[in-house]
Amino acid sequence: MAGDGTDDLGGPAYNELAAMQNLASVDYGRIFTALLAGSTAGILGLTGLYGFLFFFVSNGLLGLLVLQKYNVQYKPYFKKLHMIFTHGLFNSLLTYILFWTFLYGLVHVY
Amino acid sequence: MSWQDAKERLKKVKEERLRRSDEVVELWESALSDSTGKLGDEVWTIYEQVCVAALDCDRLDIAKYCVAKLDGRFPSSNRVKRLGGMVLEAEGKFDDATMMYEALIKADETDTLARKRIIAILKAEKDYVKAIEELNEYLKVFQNDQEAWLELVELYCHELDYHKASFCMEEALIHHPHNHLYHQRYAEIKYALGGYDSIETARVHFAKATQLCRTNVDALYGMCICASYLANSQKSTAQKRRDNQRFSEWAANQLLEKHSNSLGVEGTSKIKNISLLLDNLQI
Amino acid sequence: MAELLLDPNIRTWIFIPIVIITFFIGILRHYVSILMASPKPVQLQQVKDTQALLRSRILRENGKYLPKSSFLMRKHYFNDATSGILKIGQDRPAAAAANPMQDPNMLQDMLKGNLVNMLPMMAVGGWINWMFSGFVTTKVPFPLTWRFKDMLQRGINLPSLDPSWVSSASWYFLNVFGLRQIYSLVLGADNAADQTKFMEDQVNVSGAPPDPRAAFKAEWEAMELYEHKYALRGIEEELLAQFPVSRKQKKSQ
Repeated sequence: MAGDGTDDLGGPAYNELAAMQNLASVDYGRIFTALLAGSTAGILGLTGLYGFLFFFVSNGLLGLLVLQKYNVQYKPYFKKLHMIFTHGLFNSLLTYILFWTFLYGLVHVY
Repeated sequence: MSWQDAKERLKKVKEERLRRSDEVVELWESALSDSTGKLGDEVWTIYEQVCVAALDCDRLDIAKYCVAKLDGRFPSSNRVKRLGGMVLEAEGKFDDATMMYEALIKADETDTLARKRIIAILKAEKDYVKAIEELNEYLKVFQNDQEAWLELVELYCHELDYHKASFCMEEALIHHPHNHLYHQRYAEIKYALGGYDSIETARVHFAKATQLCRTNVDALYGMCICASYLANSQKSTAQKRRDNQRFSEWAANQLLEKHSNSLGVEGTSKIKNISLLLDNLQI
Repeated sequence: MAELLLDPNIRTWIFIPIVIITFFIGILRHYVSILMASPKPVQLQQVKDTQALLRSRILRENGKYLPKSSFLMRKHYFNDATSGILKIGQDRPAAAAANPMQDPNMLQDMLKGNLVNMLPMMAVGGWINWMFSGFVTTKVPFPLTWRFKDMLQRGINLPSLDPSWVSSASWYFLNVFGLRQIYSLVLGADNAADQTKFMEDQVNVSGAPPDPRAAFKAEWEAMELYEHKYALRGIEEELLAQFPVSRKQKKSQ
């Protein structure tokens, strides 16, 4: 991940490119999370609300792992804390549902 | 070195935008020129890269060979024509090259590289005034071209027009406000401009450069000098005099600290000399 | 909620193949659109406009690092009532032929876009609907309301069947949406297989040429409202506070 500018009186000077790249990296990880979590949910046979809960839990876990990588010092790498958790969430939801349905179908329906 | 390694090295030089023209030419001659068949489609970008490097090293034979190969494969390509223009430039045929670039611009109005080559020709002919004029025209359209603004800074500095140079440097600065070298350069231009306000601005930007990069010694010297000038100046109020004195003392101390850190115990006599010099800079 | 037992043949011959078909069609779309892409000649005026807007935006973002006089000089260049380029850009007469029907290039691009994106989706969707209809394909793991039944269970006339059991057509569409993100993994970002970008373009195409004027207006307003707060005020004091001089390195040595 790319680090960016230092603090000064007017607030941090952001290297836009670096910030965007960092978010893109998190998105990349989020796709994998959706894939794996969806498959897990399908295999486990989670249905309905539990399935969606699992989705949010797995994304939360991803966010926490990202934070842990920087010892909770997210400021040099991300503009806002919540972006680590919410950026690209909806897109990965669809992927999650797909893999969830897919594995659920393979394991429990057949 | 095998041709694969040479290819990788060329790729790295290209990606990191290093100017290692002699290395590129050497790699070409030793490893790649015999293996062009094995390179596949990558050979064309390699020809381009080697051509430009060869022009930089005054190896016109290699450059012409590359252009001929590229022309054979891409007969009506603007990119290849531009390389041809650069070969003409290297041979000193500036008028022919300019005509070729103008034709390219006519074909595609938004061709930035051909325009830049024309300006480069003017620079090579030492016609700085015309070069500045053309570059200004270019920048009226392509307002965000960093390289162009920085080039204009150099041209204006060459013509000692620091006022305009500082304007151009500001353009570069707003694009990269966290680049300490830009702050430093801007401060230096402001310092060269002279006058109380400019030097005050210079001091501010030297300070910013120091803040952004703790190892920037030039910025510390700059800050020290500006602050002592301002402290000495007639125009300063008493408060400003005190402030500037503190700033220049601080900068001097920082400098001594850095020098002694790097020189170690053996350098104590050198430190004393530096200390004396810094004394002379101050009140 | 009845637990149905489905023939394993459905799994082997329909469930998995639909996923594979969708995936490969997406990849095919990406490569076809690359092959069909025609380079658009850009107008110089367009370049000038885009550049001016970009510069104005960057100035607003980072102008706080410039001395006030420099910033005002640039603001005047952009926003002055008579000669500011943003003002002139706003008042320019509307650009010609915003109508896609009249502009041949735009029409061509739209047709190509449609061909590559919508057509395969409709075609394959229809084919799957025709070939694999009349039976239930899979069960979605979450409960759905009865209103979805009509949409998702085309061709299955069982009024008492839980809407969670869906037909192959709906499984296909679920795949289309779900695999979008996977394409960005496989093909790298900015790929043509991602349809949502295409659908956004559809919405924008009709608005493109008048856009510069609206963009200029927006930029002009933003610049008017912007307040220059010099970010470097007092920076020396900040520096001195951040890095106080250690006692042993006092200059008086």
